[in-house]
Amino acid sequence: MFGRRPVLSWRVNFIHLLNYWIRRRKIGSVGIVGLLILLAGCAGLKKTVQLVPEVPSVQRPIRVALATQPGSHTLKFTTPVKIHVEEAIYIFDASVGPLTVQLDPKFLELRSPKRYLRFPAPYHVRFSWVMAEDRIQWDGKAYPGNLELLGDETDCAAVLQLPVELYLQGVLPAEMPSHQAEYLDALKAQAVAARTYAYWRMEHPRHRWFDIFGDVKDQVMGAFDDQRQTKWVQQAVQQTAGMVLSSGQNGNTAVAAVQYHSTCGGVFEVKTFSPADSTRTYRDGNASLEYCRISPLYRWVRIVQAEALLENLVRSGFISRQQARELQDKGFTMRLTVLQRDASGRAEQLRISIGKTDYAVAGFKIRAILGEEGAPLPSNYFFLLPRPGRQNQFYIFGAGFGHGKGMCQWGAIGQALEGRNWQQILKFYYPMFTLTQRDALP
Amino acid sequence: MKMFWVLTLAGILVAGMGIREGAVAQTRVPQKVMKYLESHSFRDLVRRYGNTTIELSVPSRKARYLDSLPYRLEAGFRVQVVATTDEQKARNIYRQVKQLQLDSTYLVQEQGLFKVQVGNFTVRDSARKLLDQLYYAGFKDAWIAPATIHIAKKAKAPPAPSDSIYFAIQVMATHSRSKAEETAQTIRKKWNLPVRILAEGNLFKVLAGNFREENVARQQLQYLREHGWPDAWLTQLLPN
Repeated sequence: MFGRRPVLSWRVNFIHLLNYWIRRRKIGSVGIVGLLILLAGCAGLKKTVQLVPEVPSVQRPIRVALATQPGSHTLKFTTPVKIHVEEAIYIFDASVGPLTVQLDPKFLELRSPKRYLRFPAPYHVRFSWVMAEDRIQWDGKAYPGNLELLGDETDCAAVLQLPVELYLQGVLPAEMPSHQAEYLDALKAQAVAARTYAYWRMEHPRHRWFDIFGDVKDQVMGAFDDQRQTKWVQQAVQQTAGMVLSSGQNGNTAVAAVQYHSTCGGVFEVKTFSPADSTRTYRDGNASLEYCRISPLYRWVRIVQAEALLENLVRSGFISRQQARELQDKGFTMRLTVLQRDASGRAEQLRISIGKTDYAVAGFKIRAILGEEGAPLPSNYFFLLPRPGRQNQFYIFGAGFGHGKGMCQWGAIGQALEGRNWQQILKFYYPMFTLTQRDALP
Repeated sequence: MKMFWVLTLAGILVAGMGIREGAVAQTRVPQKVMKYLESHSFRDLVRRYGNTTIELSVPSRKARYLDSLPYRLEAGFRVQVVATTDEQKARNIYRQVKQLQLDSTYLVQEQGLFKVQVGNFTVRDSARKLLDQLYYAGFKDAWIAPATIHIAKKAKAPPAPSDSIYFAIQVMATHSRSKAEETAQTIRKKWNLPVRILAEGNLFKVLAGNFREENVARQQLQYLREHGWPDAWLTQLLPN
């Protein structure tokens, strides 16, 4: 019953009407000339597409990027959906079959065994529900909310719009273990931290089309039909509904810029990084603070080979493939020294000398260079030792996982297991921020 | 003092079992190392070793290749059967010499010549016996020529037996879990042996016993073979 004929837009109807006027002589030659002049005038206007309307209210749904790179994705739905495009509205039901979405800045293709649609850029395709709201299946993962596919020659994105509280139900189980009642207070602390970050991102969007990435670049949003979706997740979100951390005082308060990470390894940055304020303080030195001992990456060891390091340097653009090949052929010596550490002991600058050439590696690149492709080193909190008897290998002894700023998620779990409540956990990790309702903030 | 700690820590690691090597290997960290790391303040360790400079050296590709060979190259002598620019002729002679089943027969290409050489001798006189042998086999033009010869490297000692390895008797391997469980039950009842089922893919292995010493395991194996499990065999396992 659905999915065969599109509902025609006013432009198509206007052409039919014009045809009718001419055939029935309802409009004379003067009228036709007048219309042509009008159309010619309009043709000179540049075609502009308002891709996403500006919504100033903070109460708007959050826009989460599911994909921002060209590629192929699958899209499934079980109840009928409306597909809004510029010219028409298509109605597809489940019988159309799963759609293959070819996302590209220059075009968008929606392909199924029964239908084929192609839209050149700029395109803005919006999906909405015909009847009751349901979940779409994007790449096999179920999400609630409305999906939008956007492209404008240079960028493309698949964006999901959904209420913040609903969004948090996807974030929590992906960011923290959620299968034990004992973790509830940690989950609540995580819900507040994630909500605060989400609202902060809505005020500082990542892109004009979306506020936040749905992966590790911001906060991971998992599938809503995931088995990690437990009743503790729902409780954590509901019992902290609307609560965020705020910074500032005397009527000058705003949503705080919070960060959190997996495992601090014993030392974490108390004041989260803010571009306006670069002062940092750390909490550490007391074994009783090391609540994240239960983390699988509390302490870790890696063995690295010089050849693999050379390959990583090529991949990161420090040396060319040709240079690497010559070094491999002739043999080489390599020296590694951590030049600079921050107050917590995390490596900030690493010098790698190959022969007589020095390469300075800083920040996250240190983790990428010393790690594997797609799996950087868990953290910058490490020291290096030679491997006896192996001239081309060395050990990395490390602690923690993540950047070490703000709340340590495993630490929060550790504290919850020791009976501390979520307000105490948040106070421990964010001592200078205040717990407040989002609605109370400007 | 600093060096002492470096060597102690590294020594613990070397002694530790289970470190998997790889390009950048995530290690299964030995318990000893984890205990060491956890019992010390990591910040203190970073303060102590944080400025250690790592010096690595990677030999040339050629050196690595030579290192990987089971022999080393040295100047010496070989009995040369032929040296010709005709590759096909050299190959034919090489095939004929091969049929004599002599040790170390080579077809080498040097400076545009294809040479068939036999043997590796450090002293010229040692090659005379082989030269005579080839003469009587019909290769009357063979001669002793200086050449780069292969000397076998000393064989590496086999790895020391580890106390973490144990022996078990694999009684059967089947795709049926119920069959495996039934067999395990039978062995447990009949011979009072510890039995466990190891699932590998869709295969279930029934493993009986947990022997530290191989000869004890072999005795038990013999017994099982004689009492209804003729296909049982011995297997070495690492602890979980």
